[in-house]
Amino acid sequence: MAGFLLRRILGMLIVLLCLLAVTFIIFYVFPANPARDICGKGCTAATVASIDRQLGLNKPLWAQFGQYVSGIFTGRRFGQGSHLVACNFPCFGYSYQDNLPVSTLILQRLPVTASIAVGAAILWLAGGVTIGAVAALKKNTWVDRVVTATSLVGLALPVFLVAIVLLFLLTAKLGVLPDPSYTSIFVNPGAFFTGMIQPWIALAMVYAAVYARFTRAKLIEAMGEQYITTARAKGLRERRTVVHHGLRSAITPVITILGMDFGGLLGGAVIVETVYGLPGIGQLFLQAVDKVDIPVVTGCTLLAGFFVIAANLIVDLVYASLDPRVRLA
Amino acid sequence: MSLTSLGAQEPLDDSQLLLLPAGPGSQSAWRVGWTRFRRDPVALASLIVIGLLIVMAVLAPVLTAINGHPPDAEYQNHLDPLLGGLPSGSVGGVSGSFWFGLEPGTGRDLFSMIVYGARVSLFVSVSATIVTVVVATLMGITAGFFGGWIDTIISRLMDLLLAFPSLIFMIALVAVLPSVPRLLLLIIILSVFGWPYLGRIVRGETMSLREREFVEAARAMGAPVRYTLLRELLPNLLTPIIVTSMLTVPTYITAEAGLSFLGLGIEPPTPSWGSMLANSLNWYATDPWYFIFPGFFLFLAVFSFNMAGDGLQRALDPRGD
Amino acid sequence: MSPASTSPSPGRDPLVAVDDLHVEFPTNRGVVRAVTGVSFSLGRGETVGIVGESGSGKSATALALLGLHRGSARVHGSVRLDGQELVGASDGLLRSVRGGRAGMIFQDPLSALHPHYRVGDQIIEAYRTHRGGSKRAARRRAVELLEMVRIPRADRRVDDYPHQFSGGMRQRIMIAMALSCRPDLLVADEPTTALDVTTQAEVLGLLRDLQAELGMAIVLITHDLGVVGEMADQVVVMYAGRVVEQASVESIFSEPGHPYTWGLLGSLVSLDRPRPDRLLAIPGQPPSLVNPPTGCAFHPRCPHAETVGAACQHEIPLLLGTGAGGGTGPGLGNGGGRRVACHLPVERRAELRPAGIGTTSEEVGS
Repeated sequence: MAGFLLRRILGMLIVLLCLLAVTFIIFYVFPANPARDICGKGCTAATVASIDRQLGLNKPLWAQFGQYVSGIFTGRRFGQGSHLVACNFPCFGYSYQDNLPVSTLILQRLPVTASIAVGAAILWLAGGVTIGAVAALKKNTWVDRVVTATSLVGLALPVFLVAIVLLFLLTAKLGVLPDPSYTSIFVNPGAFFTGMIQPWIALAMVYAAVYARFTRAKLIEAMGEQYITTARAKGLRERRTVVHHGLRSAITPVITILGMDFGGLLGGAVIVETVYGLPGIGQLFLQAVDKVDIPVVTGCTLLAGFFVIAANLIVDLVYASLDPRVRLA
Repeated sequence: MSLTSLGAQEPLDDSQLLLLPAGPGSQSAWRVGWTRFRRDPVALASLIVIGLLIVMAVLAPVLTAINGHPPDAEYQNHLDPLLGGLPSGSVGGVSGSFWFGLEPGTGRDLFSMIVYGARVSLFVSVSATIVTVVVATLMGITAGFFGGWIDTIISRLMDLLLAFPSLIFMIALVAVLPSVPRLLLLIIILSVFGWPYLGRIVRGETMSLREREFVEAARAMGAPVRYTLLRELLPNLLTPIIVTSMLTVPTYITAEAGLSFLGLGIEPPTPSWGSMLANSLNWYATDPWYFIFPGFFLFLAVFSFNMAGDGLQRALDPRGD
Repeated sequence: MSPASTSPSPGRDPLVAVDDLHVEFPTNRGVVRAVTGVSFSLGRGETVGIVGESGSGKSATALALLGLHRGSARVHGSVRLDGQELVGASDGLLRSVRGGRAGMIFQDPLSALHPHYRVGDQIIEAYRTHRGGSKRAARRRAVELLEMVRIPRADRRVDDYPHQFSGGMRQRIMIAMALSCRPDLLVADEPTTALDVTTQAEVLGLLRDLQAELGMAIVLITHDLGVVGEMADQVVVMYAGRVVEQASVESIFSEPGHPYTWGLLGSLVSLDRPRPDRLLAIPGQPPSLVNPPTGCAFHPRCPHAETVGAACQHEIPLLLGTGAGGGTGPGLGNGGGRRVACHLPVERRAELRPAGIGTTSEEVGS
């Protein structure tokens, strides 16, 4: 197991390095005038020039990249004299437009995005897998058909469309839910849930449909395996056979595709925040794109990449803990 | 794939490769497949709907000439200023003249906007799919055929791209490259993040074909392996490529709509379904028809491609269900 | 070969009594009659070998014994374990029997054991379902069981996963699991088919020893007559869902009565007999169970069908006793009684039997 872990972490580090390089190239190399972009709109020529010097944008690419990477781990200092700003570890850059380190901006908004993402993920996993399992067990009955039909429809509904429809139905027409908003769960759990439920459903719907279909297929497959007959021949109750033996096997492929969906989860969070006007990292990101605040854009992109890679590592570990054949290979 | 943030695609895992018909693509295999497809009412209906959507998109100028309302013409006189710019009349202003009503605020004809929006959606997604097919086939065959470190690099690249938060990168790229023509940029970006899905399938098929006995047999007979492989490979690839493409188009339609929704798609005033939906956020309570029409068409397009692709997969699956 | 059994004395119920068992599956192509009219009885420590090709209905019979058929399968007839009727019994009863008073092992232990759980845990699960108790006690029992089936270093290996064992060891683990609650009956569905010959001998030897020790009855499904010769006291030969011959193992080997049995025996290679010029193969394919041939299902492949004439094509032969005192009732209570379902006249069977098939009883079993 230790060897497995080590190899995976090493792979993750390599991917992270590639991610850093790609992000760096996109944001510091591509733009014609990175200094001006970093400084943002409404910037004076003098500031642009000083940024140019401070960030070492006149140095060779390798040196710039090195500074950029090391800055993440050790923090950096931008500017001199009265313009000095300290950007502590981890330094993902400094937003001249908002006068704050990017990491501060991100941390402020992290709870919102995390709430959206985690809540939706739990909803789609619990919901999708359960529904798929039920459909598999009641194969070819009306329950199964309803689930299949609903999944097919759900698959074709993009997040923003679902969000608008929900807003219209639940908030405007029926008035059962308030306008989605973020209240910290520690402040008011009730408001937290009623405020978040629509974003969660909107984001979870498509994934729930995918996972329902997938779980159904995998559980049907698993229930056809020989060890299911063995379990029954041991005298186990049917429920234990289904859950402990069947579902257990069906879960592992579901975990595999989970890894691929984290990236989508973040993208979905961006959209959901836009639709509902929630002050999360996604909204920060889009606003930065609009204002051409390159450090923020870069920081958010990096964060997204980090998160996906880390989440994939965790998924790999969970998979290995479930299927012993993988870790002992 | 990470484009599932905006839409979804069924993960075709590698075990399903076995479902794809083996053996050279003979005429009869296609005929059998087509017959089965024909008997599937949902699949057939979906194909017809797709055809209609394509016709609608291609004939957009003709259709707007027929109804007499170019997409950018504003019919302010049909809006009610007292209601803040809502179309007068019910159902968002649907009438004999304005078949889908008017866009609130600007008074543009919704029907014209939708048919032109169809153009954007279908053009971008179909073009991106074509590019995807080309790239995925090349990369997949290369990886599967040569194996070794070439395969490792390509496979890792594919895994990476599949896992990445593609929407975020797409947004960033659009932001960083404002000078590139938007449609082209969209097509390229969609393909960059979309090709690995098909690439993995092509690679898998290539690798499995390489292992088959007929390669040994061909070699034993002295036939040139590469030539034999290509001759056998391409017909076998046709089916998974066609099925997967059919399922890729809806993913791209959703992705393009999502980008448009965020304001990063084709620039206004060109209408697109995504941007209409974005604008509809301002009016959803008072004029729901403004989101219902584009929403319905978006759903219809995605749904029909999904159904047709599913039907195609079932029809070409030799095992049957 | 297990010690010769004493036939159950009249008036006392045998441990296992199967009477006129039928299994059918309705499909959209018609009704598949997988098993038609199987009957046999077993006492303690006795083994019945059910032999046949794939599609003969032998596995369907095995599954039917413990009610393991799912879905649309229809099972009629009677299966009584120690007097308790199992066909149509309640779920609760069947569950208490399965793994408790009757255990079952399967052909491929790699797919029959769950790949994600440790073998110890799987055995513990079987044990605790019926005996309850603490996990620690169950674990001790699991180690004991592994030792009983001769897994070396059982106390360490109890925590290993199925894929970490060889095929033979996995089969022994399955046996351990099936025997965890000391069942009276063990149903073994082709337990050695997936194993190489040496391992096969080990596993069979283990089964014999365990049977002697625990006194259980064994229903052994196999396509291999060699296995039958080693293990069984009685033999049931099945073809196309029906029993075509049923006799004690000695009778089957010394005086087989059915052309199909002759074919099966002829394809065995024996070191003891003069080497035939060619091995006798049974020509043709196993029949469809949806649309079986009319009359005797074997007639299309039987070299003697013409000798008999029209009856083979039109009449299904009944399973009739041929030996001294043979009757038509279930079981072979009359020691040496043999029943054959064939239109060939009894007197002609001996002469029609191919050379080299059938032996004197000394050569049977080794």
